[in-house]
Amino acid sequence: MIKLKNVGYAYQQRPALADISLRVGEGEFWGVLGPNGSGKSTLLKLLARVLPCQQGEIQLAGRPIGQYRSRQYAQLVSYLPQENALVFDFTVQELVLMGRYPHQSLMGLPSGGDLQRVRQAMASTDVWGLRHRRFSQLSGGERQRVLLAAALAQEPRVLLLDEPTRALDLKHQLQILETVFQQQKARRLTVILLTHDLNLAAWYCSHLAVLKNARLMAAGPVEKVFRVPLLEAVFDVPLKLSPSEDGGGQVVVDLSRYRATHGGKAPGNG
Amino acid sequence: MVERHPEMVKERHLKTLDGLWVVWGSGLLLLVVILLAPTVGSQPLNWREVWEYLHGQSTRSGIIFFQLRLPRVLLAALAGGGLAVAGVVFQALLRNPLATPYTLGISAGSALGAVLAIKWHLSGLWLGFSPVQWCALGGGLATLLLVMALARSAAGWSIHTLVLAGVTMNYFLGALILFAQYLADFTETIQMVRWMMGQISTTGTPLLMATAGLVISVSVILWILAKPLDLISTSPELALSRGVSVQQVQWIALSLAALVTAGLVALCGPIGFVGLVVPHVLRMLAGPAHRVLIMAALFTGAAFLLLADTLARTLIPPVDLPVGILTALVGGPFFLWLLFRREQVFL
Repeated sequence: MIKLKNVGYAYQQRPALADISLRVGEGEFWGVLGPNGSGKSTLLKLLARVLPCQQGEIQLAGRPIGQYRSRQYAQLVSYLPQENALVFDFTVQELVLMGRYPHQSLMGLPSGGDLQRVRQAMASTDVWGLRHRRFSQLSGGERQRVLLAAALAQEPRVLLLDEPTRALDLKHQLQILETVFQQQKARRLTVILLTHDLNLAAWYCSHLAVLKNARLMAAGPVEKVFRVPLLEAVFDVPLKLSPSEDGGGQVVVDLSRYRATHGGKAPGNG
Repeated sequence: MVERHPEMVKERHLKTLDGLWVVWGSGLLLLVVILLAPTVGSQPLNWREVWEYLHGQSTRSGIIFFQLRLPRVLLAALAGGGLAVAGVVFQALLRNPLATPYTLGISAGSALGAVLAIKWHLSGLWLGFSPVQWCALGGGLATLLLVMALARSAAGWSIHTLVLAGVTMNYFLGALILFAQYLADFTETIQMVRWMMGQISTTGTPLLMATAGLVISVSVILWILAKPLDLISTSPELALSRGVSVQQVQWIALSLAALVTAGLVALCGPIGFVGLVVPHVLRMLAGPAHRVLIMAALFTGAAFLLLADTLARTLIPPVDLPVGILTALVGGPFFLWLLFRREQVFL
């Protein structure tokens, strides 16, 4: 579905991505992991065509993405940026309807089909009850669900999500990711998700890509990439696998090793 | 298959045009104000004379009504509508509810042009426009081009640099205007200060038609761009990912809004407040969707400036006050009242 060949990008000579090659198959759920400044958001912005591709080539469905017209590309790819603060206070239904833009004429009112898809997107993200509310009146979790509804109303084949669970509590993180997961299965979407939560990424994603210092450190199925030594090297913190009740495991920070190497004190020890 | 939310059964249709009542309401308001404004003035009208003027007789009341008041009324309405629409668009493009049509320095550029034309005593008419008007138009457009060029050269092009360049140009041109005023004699200074207060004056039919053509055609094009403007005002990144040609829409909308602003400032001077307050009030009433907002701004801005101008020429007869003073005097307290009345204010 998506093919990156030696892709690179630099902000005023400071490289943000270098020599990235990756293949993302149709219907795969990719998680992109990496420390702050590793190039994750740049990668997503390149895929969303928010930034121009400076080096290498990105293909979507066998065609370089630069060859698609704006609307045509938006019918295939939907992007949820990290920033969700709005200057002007649109209602929820207005925002979700904006997701239909690539399928509508410039002047026409929304068709019955548009409204049907908007209703479906709102129902699947559970924001139908909020449709008359203004965006400023919503909580962080509700805002993300509304923006996700707008992205789904766009009916893309590829969904690009830039840390959609950022600044959300655990329950709302799960709510968002569960919705994405259900929709990914139901619509056979290709999803690329940026996140800092290693365990949620491992739980929901079928594939992982790990970035560090603008370079791709590893990419592939979760079971091959989700390894403690690799993640330790990428995030530069000691990690360990903590067994869970269902027989699986979760990666957690090995605090005692961290303190031993960084000379910190345990809380409550004075 | 997606589950149907229970409420969907009750309400099957989404309301897609919230705030349409504001368009009808403001249209009706404008109609009433346009019908009443020419009947009000320091000179009483004899309606029989007005009627006779229509049948080819040159009567006193007919001349006052058709040659003095009506053109001024229409120019005030066009100027108010145009400035309010430009205000809506500048706020959307700059994603800043405090932006006005003058944020990028257009009015300062126009003022400098006008001040120089007054200082150099340029005279004569060309295509129905005075040298002060031509210089003001040229100054406004030249400033806009300069600001755009400055913003483009500084690390690509961004709204942030555009606003900064505009604010800086406002200060720079303000200093040049003060310098020109310093060098001017007493009569020239009075002329300059009066021009900068903003004034709607009686105008000929060709000028009125040109203004109507400009304001209405630009408003229609901007209304057509309402959907992309909605998306750009939420987030340019989001707009890009929805398939909007963001740069193209930004340049078209910015150029048109700037053209209307420069044209109106050249005709009427820098009348403040309309381009800031009218969009705010309408967003409070109708929300920020541009399909409704642009039409409502055209009508409300027109009604507002027309009311202010009618007050300006009738408040202290026979003195004709500069309307720029009245817009702030009337609009300021009204806006503050609205702000305090609302518990939740979304700027």
